[in-house]
Amino acid sequence: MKTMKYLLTLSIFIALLLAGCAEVPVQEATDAGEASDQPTGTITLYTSESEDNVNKMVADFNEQVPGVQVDIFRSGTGEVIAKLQAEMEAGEVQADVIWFADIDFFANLAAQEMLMSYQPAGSDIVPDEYHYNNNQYQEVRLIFNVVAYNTNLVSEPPTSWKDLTNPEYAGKVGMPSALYSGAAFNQVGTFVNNPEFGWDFYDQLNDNGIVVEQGNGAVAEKLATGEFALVQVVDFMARSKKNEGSPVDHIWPVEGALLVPTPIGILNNTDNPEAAQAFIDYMYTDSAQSLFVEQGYIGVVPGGPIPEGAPDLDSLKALTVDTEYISANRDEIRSTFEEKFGAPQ
Amino acid sequence: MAEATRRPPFLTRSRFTNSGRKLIYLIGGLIFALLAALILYPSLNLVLNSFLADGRLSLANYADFLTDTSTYVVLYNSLFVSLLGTLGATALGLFIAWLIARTDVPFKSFWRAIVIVPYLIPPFIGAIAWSYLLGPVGYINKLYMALSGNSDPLFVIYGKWGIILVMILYSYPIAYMISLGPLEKMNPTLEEAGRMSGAGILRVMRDISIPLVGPSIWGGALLIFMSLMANFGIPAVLGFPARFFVLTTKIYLTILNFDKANNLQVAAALSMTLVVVAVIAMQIQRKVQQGRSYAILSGKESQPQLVQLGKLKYAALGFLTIVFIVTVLAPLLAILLTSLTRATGVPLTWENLSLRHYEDLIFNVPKVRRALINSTLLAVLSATTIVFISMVISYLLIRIKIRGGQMIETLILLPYAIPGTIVALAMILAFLKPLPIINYSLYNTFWILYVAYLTRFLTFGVRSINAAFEQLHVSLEEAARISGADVVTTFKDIVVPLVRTNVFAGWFLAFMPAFTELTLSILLFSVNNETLGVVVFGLHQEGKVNLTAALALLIIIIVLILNIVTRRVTRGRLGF
Repeated sequence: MKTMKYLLTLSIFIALLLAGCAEVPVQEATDAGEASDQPTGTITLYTSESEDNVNKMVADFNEQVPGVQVDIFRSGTGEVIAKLQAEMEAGEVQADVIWFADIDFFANLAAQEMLMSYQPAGSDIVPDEYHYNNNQYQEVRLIFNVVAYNTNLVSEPPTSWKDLTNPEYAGKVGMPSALYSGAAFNQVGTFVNNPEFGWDFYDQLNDNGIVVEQGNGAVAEKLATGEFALVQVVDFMARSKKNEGSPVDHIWPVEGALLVPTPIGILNNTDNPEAAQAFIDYMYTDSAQSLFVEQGYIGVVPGGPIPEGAPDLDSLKALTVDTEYISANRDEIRSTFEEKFGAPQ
Repeated sequence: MAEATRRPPFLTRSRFTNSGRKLIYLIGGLIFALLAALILYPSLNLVLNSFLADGRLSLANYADFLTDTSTYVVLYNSLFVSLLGTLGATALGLFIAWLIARTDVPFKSFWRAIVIVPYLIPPFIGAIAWSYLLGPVGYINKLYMALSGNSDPLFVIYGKWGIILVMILYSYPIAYMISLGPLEKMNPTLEEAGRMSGAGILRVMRDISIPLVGPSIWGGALLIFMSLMANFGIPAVLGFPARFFVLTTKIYLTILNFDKANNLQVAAALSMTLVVVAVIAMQIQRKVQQGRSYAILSGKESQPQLVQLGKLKYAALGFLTIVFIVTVLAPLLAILLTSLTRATGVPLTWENLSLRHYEDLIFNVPKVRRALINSTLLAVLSATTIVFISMVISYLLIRIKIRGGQMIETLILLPYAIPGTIVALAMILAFLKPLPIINYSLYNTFWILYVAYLTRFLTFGVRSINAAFEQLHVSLEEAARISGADVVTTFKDIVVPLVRTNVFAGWFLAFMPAFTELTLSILLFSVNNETLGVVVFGLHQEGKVNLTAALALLIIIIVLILNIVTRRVTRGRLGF
């Protein structure tokens, strides 16, 4: 009966494992008055946001709206879009709310009438330029592509995007892949149509042995470890690495940092619009805006707090994304980038 | 189904009563329908899709990848790393097996337990661990740079050589396990003759011992080659940073590139190259196993005299120690240290050690908990289903000897023989659109993972239980039948108890790889249906180095404990 004993042991082990990690979904008994006007149920969020940041965001949201469970699919913008497209082909999109760094793709969805027009509560004081397409999608905080460096390896801080081509750091420069990261895709799409840069700039990066990581997270991490000396990365990650104590700092390039739109929107076919809207409303609350700042982001609500180490936006130059060029040349940008940086060697 | 319009196609003996025959016919039919739905249909659909462009039959997908020079580069890359990896793994596994089976190297039982451990570590986790050791700023490279004052790393693991190295380290146990048995049973007089004629130890090993276990070595090498060609995790972890791609990673990227027209269909066409390689390898393996017998091996249970190593004993001991350090100790230590480091980039000091990543893992990353539950459920459910189906299939194959058995066996082996990336693609293509009649899409559900695991690991169950039926004499069942028991009673009271050990073996063999599965899951998972492999890989890709390490260590510990418990409880009959 050894085998029976084995089966028993294993079942107990598995039962313990499950019991240990299964979170019993205890519905907090809230007073009836509060519970009645608050949405409940589940929504699914597809996002390219940093996993740990968005998890904290959801936890904070649940403090205010405890009845709504937010399930998260997180990957790079490229893979999030791939998943959405696969689901569109299958005939059923699972996401209720989407939030990633490809405004051109949002425009495509809007053109297919897949997005819900909704003006979130408290967002009326946010400048119009951050509400897109008749409130079908909007900005909840700002991110910029900047140049960041490892303070142990770089003694004199860089000043320009072109410092990434400095042969002194050959092989120790990095950037995220335009095929995976939406922020990187926007950067490439904007720079190649800018006479100051063009594809030439990317050839020079290639000559300087630039390492293309998948996402910004990996770039920031490898900058912190010292695998990279100098990188293109999103600003909040550089800031949060610095605040964690890693040897990282960032600069605002003289040519300007690129403001990367990262809109959030609700899909029309959501089966829980109330919960989805509550989630987006939450984004504009003081609590959410402060949390963004804590995570290193620059907020979108005027007069809100400012993250430690963030520059004064009014005095600095920001580049805007060349949406017109990107929209017209989407495939070509991707395939040229893949040819230069993604092609097997 | 057309009922009994023809003679039951797979009944050849009339050992059964009419009702018994009908029952077997029914169960056999159901099983075959299941195999047809889960394996045959997705396979044929995959082939069909490879010829579909914009919904029409065409060769465009083949033209697309055949005219793309990068296809040949990745094909060459795949063959290059797999061949060198196979060579290295086979040589290493064989040498270790020879040391343990045929020489008087000390502490044998310790080494027996240890050299198997790399087999239990999921290869992609091994690859991640090695990136902590030999990445550009890995522990070994940092140590080297600090000691030598050199600012360039010693060796960077990214790229083909690193992939080959890690492939060798995590697949040599297959060669070891396969050659250990034959080496132990080998007729020792041949070696003794060699020694007496004045040949050195290495010469005896090279010219006598190894050729004698030739067929096993060939079989093992082919198995390793197929698994390396199919491997996704190692080239994904170590190849992406160096822009080095192999067929599996290229197919993966093609599947995800929805901007490309007909991307799934092009990926299907591209997959055919790997299917062809896998089928050729399967055929060679069959030939090798049929053509050469083990006639040179002595069947008697002689206690073979061991090769006396003499002073070389210490060299052998040192060698095994190095293997242990390189394959197990160093990677585990690297994972442990990384998981305990407070933040990336900070120097390794006592103050910088913290448990915060474990805290994060348990409390702040909900998908970790979900993945633990999902992977456990998936592994338990699929392994259990597999042994139930396997019992029936094996009974039909070995006892009833149904017609077309060979075909069914091939069909069952198929999802394991072809790379997981392709199985996943076939599943997407087959189950993306809602199923007819019930109008339910398996895609994006837990069940597509279950179905994929079920087909992929079914062969473990069937092979394991086949072996039991082959060893058991049919007379026991006949005795029951003569005493008046019907088919069901015979099966329940005689067959099941007799094959129980192998049932558990099959369950364990399916459970272990399912628990840490990555290749299928990464393409088939969805929200709430994440698996452990998916979460580790995702955290790694996202650059959450410390968190990845913490979870990787947790998985390794669970796997090792499961294995130890299994060994203890079954007194070494199961487990590695």
